[in-house]
Amino acid sequence: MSQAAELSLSNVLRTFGGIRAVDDVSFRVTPGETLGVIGPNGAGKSVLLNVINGVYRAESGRIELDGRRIDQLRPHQITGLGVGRSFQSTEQFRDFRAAEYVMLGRLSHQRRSLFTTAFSWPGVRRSELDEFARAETALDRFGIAGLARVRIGELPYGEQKLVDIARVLAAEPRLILLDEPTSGTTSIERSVISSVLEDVARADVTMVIIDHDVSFISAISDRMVVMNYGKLLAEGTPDEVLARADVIDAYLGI
Amino acid sequence: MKEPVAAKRKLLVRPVSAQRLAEPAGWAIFVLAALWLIFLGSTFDQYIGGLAVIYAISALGLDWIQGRAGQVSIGNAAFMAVGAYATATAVKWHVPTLPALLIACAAGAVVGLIFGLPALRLQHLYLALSTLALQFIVQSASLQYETSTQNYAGFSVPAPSIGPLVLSGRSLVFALVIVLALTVIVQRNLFRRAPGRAWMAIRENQMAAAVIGIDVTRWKLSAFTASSALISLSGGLLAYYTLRVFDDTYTLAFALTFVAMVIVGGLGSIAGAIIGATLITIAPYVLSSWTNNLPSTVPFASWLSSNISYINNGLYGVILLLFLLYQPRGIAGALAAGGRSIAARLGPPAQGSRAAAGAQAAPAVAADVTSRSSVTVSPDQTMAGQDHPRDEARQVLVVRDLKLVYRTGAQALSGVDIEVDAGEIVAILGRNGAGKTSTLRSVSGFFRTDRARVSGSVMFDGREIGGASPIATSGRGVVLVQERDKVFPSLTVAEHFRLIRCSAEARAEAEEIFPPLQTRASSPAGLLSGGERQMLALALAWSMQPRLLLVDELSLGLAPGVAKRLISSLREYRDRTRVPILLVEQNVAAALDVADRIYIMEAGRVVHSADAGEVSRDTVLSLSFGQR
Amino acid sequence: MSSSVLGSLISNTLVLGSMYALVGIGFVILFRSTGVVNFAQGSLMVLAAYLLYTCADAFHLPLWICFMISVVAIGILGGLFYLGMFRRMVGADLFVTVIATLGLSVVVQMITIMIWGAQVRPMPELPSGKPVFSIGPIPFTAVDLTAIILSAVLIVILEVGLRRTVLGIATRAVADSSHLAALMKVRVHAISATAWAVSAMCAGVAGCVLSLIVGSVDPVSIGQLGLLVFPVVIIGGVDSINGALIGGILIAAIQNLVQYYLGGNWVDPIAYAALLVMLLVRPRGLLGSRAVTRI
Repeated sequence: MSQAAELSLSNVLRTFGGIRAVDDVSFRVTPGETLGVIGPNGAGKSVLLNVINGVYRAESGRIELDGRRIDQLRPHQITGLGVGRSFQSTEQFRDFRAAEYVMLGRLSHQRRSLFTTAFSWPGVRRSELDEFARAETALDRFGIAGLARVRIGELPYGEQKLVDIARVLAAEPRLILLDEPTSGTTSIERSVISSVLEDVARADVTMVIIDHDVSFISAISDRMVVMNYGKLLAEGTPDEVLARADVIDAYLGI
Repeated sequence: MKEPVAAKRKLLVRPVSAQRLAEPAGWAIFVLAALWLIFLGSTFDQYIGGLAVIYAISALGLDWIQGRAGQVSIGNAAFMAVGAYATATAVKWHVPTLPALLIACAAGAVVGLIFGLPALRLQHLYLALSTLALQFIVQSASLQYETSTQNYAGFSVPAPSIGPLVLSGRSLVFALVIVLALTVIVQRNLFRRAPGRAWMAIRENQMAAAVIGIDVTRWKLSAFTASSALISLSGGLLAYYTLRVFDDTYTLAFALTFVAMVIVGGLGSIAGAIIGATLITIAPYVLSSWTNNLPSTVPFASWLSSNISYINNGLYGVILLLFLLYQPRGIAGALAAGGRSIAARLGPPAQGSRAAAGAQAAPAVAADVTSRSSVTVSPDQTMAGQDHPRDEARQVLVVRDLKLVYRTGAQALSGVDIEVDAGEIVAILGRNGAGKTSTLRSVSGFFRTDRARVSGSVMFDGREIGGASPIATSGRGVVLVQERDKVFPSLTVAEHFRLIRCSAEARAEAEEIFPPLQTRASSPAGLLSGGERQMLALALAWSMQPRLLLVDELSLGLAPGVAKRLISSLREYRDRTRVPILLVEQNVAAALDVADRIYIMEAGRVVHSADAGEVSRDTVLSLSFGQR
Repeated sequence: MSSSVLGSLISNTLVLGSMYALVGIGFVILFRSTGVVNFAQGSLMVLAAYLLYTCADAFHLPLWICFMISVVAIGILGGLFYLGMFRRMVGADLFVTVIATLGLSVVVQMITIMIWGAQVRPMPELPSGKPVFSIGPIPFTAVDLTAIILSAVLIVILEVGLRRTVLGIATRAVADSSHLAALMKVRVHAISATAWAVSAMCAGVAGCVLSLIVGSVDPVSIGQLGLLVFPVVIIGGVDSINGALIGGILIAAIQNLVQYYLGGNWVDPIAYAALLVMLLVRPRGLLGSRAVTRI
C-alpha cells in the first residue's frame, strides 16, 4: 500500500450559468483521514467531487494533492496520481462482467504496449491471470467473489455499487472519493460497505465521502463538513457538526 | 504469490457452458469453410471467396473502431486506397510482397494518426465527418497521383510472391485465409485483455472512462491508428489480388458497404464482421444467378434481370436498413442472444436465481429498514385513511400498492399507498433515495419502458390511469412540474405562453402573481434565475388548467426566501382554484407550512402519514438526520 | 484576374452559396429538432432534380409548376421517412441514426437509378444562359436571380416561421427537450415529421436549382454537392441557422477561388480540408454552441 495522500482545497469556485455551485470552498484532509460531506440536495456536494476529480475545472482557487496542484489536470491524470472515485450509477458499464470492470480500475497500472499484448509476448497471459485473481480478491472483500463472471447489468443495484467500490479499491488509491456509496442499497449491503470502508479507513488511505445517510457517515468519518448553497457551512467532528443549530436549520430549510 | 496459481486451478475446473462452446465451434466452421473453398470450390467461387476474405479483413478493421471503440467511421475506402497506392508505389520500386504490405500498413497508420487527431477530443460523431473529409481528399489525391504519373488507367500490380513462390489462384486464397486467421488471433488477444476493456469503456461513456483512469485520447488514437493500418493492409491485399489499383474502386459507396457488413454481422463481434463481409460480398452474385434462372413466366422476371445490376449496387443499403430496423444487433447478436436463452434453459441457474434472490430479498430487507428507521410507526396509524375516514367520492387521486422495479432488480417503490382529496395539499417527505420523486413520476406515467416495470393501481377521478403515458395523463389534467427540465432554455418567457396557447387573461393573472414574468417576458428561459424559472414552470402548469397538480422539489437550489414565497404561492393557487396539489419536498419546514397532510417515505414505501399540524419537531429532525 | 472574371466568380459564389446555405439550414433545423445528423440530403437533392426533369420532359408542364410539384413531393417524402422509419429510432444512439441515413442515401440512390437510368439527361426548356441583369461586372442569369431571390425568401420565411409562429416555437421546444414538450401537450411526432419535410424541401429546392444551373441531371454530381453540407455546417456551427448562411457563402467562395487558381480537381478536397481545420481550431464552428461538441 502506498502512502495516503493529503488533499487541500483553497477558495475553490465553480459556477454553472450564474449559479455558484461551489462557492469559495476551502478545507484540508490530512493523510489517512476520512472526511464526510453532507448537505441538502443541490448543495453542491457532487459538483465538489467532480471538481476535485477534474471532471469540471475550478474557475478559481487551488486544489492540491500532497502539495502538488491538480486543479488544471485532466481526470485520467488525476486518477493516475492515486485518486479513486466511485460513481453514483454503473448503468453505463452494464455489459462488463464484474471482474472485468474491477480490472478496469487497474488499467493505469498495466504498462504494456498494444504490440506485446497483440502478439501474446511472454508474461502477458500470466499478468492477465494475476489481474483477474486480484479482481476476484477485491470482490471477495465484499463477499461477492462469486459474481466475478456475471454481467453488471444483471446485478441488482446494490451489488452494482459494491462492484464499483471494489473497482476503486482494487486500484490501491491514495485518496478515495465516494459519491453516495449507500444510496439505493439494502441495509445488509450498507453494513458490508460500512465494514469494508472502516477497514480501509484504518489502513493508510485518505477518504472523502458524500452521503445522505447521516448515521452511516457520522460513524465512519473522522471529521465532517456541511455544504449548503455551494458554501461550507460547518466543519468539525461529527458530534460537533450535527449539534449545531445552523446545520439543523439548513436541513430543515428554515 | 499463491493467488495466481490458485486462480489458474479455478479456471481449469470451470464447467463447460454454451458460451465456451461457441468459440471452438466458430473456429471449426471457419476452418471447414476455408478448406472447402480452397480444395473444392470452383475458380469463380475461389475468386469471390478471396474477395470476401479481403473484405472481411477490412471489416474487422472497421469493427475495431466502430464496434469496439464506438466511433462511426466511413473511412474504409480511403484507407484501402492508401494501402493500395502505397503497395503499387512500392512495387514500382521493386519492393517484394511482404515488405510492400508492411509499407501499406505503415502508410495507413500515419494517415490514421493525422486524420484521427481533429476528431479525438470531440464526441463520437466527429470522426464520421473526419473520415468523410478523408474520403474526398484521398479520392482527389489518388486521381492527382494517377494523372501526374500518367497512369490514367490506374496502376498495374504484379502477382504477389513469397520468395520464389508466386501466389495465384488456390495458393493466393490460402495465403489470404492465413492472413485473416492471424488478424482474428491478434484482435482476439487485444480485445480480451486490457486494451479491449479500455476501448469498451470508452465506447460506453468517455467521461466515466477518463475518471476511471483511462487516457481516452491516447486509446482512441491507438484504436484508430491500428485499425487504419489493418484496413490499409487489406487495400494492399486487394491490389495484389486484382492486380490493379484504380481510383474508381475506392468510392464513398465502397466505404458504405463495409459499414453495412459490420452492422449486418453485428457490432463488436469478430465472427460478426466475417459473417457480414461474406454475406454482403456474395449476396449480389447469389441474387444475380437467382434472377437469371427465373423462368420468364414469373411476373417481373424480365424487369428484374434487366435491372439486376442496379439492384446489386444498392443491395447492401437495403440489407443494412432492414437489419437496422428489425435486427440491430446483427447476425452475431441474434445468435448470441439465442445461445444465451438456450443456455439459460439448459445450464445451471446461477445468474438467474441470483437476480431473483436479490429481488426477493428486497422486500424483507425493506421491512428491516422500516423497523430500524428513526420514525416509529405507531400501532394505530397503520395506513393513511384509516384514522381519518374520508368520503370516497371526494378522493381525486388514489394510489394503491404502487411498485416500481428496475430491470436490474432494484426496487425503487415497494408498494406505495397515497390519497389526495379534492382541494387538499399533500406533501411527500423523506430522505434522498426514499422514492418520493419516483412516486410522483410513476403517477405521471413515466417508467413504462423496458427498463422498468410499474405495477399497482393509480386512480384519478375514479378512473384507472395506471397504464397511461405522460402525454396521456397530461391530457387528463394531471400536470407535473418536474424537478429538472421544467422550462425550455431557448424559448423566451412569452414564447412559453404562446406554446401552450395560454389565454391573455390567464397570462395576465400569472404576471400579477409573479411580476418577473412580465419584466422578463422577452428573455430566453435559459437566462432566468432559478426562482424565475420555477415561477414560469408554475405559471405554465396553472395555465394548463390542471385538475391535479404534481410538483417535484420546488425549492431545490433556491434561496430560502424565494423558496418560501413560491411554496406559499402554491397555497394561494389552491385557495383560489381548489385544485388539489401533491408535492414532493426536501424542505421540511416549508412543506409543513403549506400542506394539509403529509406522507413520510422511506426505502420505497410510506412509513408514516399525519396531518401537517400534528408532526413534531423531533419527527422532523430525525427525518432529516436519521437515527443517531 | 480581370473584372469580368471576378464578376462571374462573385455571381457564382452568391448563387452556389445561397444553395449551400439553404441545404445547410434544412440540415440544422432537422438536427436541432430531432438530433438526426442526415447524410441523405444529397440523394434527396438528386431525386428532386429527376422529378423536375420528368415533370417537364414527360408532362410538358411549365418549369415553375414542375419546380413546385417536385419540391412538395420531396417534402412529403421526407415526412414519410420520419413516419415510416425514424420515428421508431427516437431515443436511439446518434450512431444508429447516422448509419440509418447513410443506408437511406444508398437505397434512394439505387431507386433513382433504377427508375431513370444512369445516363446524363439534359434539362428540357432551360431558360437562356444569357445574363439578364448585372450589378457592374457581376452578371446574373434568370436562373441565378431566381435562385438567389428564392433562397433569400425561403430563408426569411424559415427564420420568421421559427421565431414567430406557434409551429416554430413548438419546433424549438422539441429541440430543447422532447420530453418536456410532450408534457406540455406538444405533438412531438408531428413536429418531427414536419422538420423532416422542411429539411427535405430545402434539399429539393437546392437540387432543382442546381440541375437548372448545370443544365442536366445525373445520379452522381448533385449528390456530391449535397455532401458539402458538412463543411458548410461545421464551419458555420452545426446548430446555428445563421452559421449555415455564413458557412454556405464561405464554402462557395473558397470553392470558386480554388477552381480558378488550382483547377476543378481540388474544389472538393479543399472544402473538406477546411472542415478538418475547423474541427482542429474551433470545433463548434463560427456560430455554433459549445454543447454540441462536449463529450
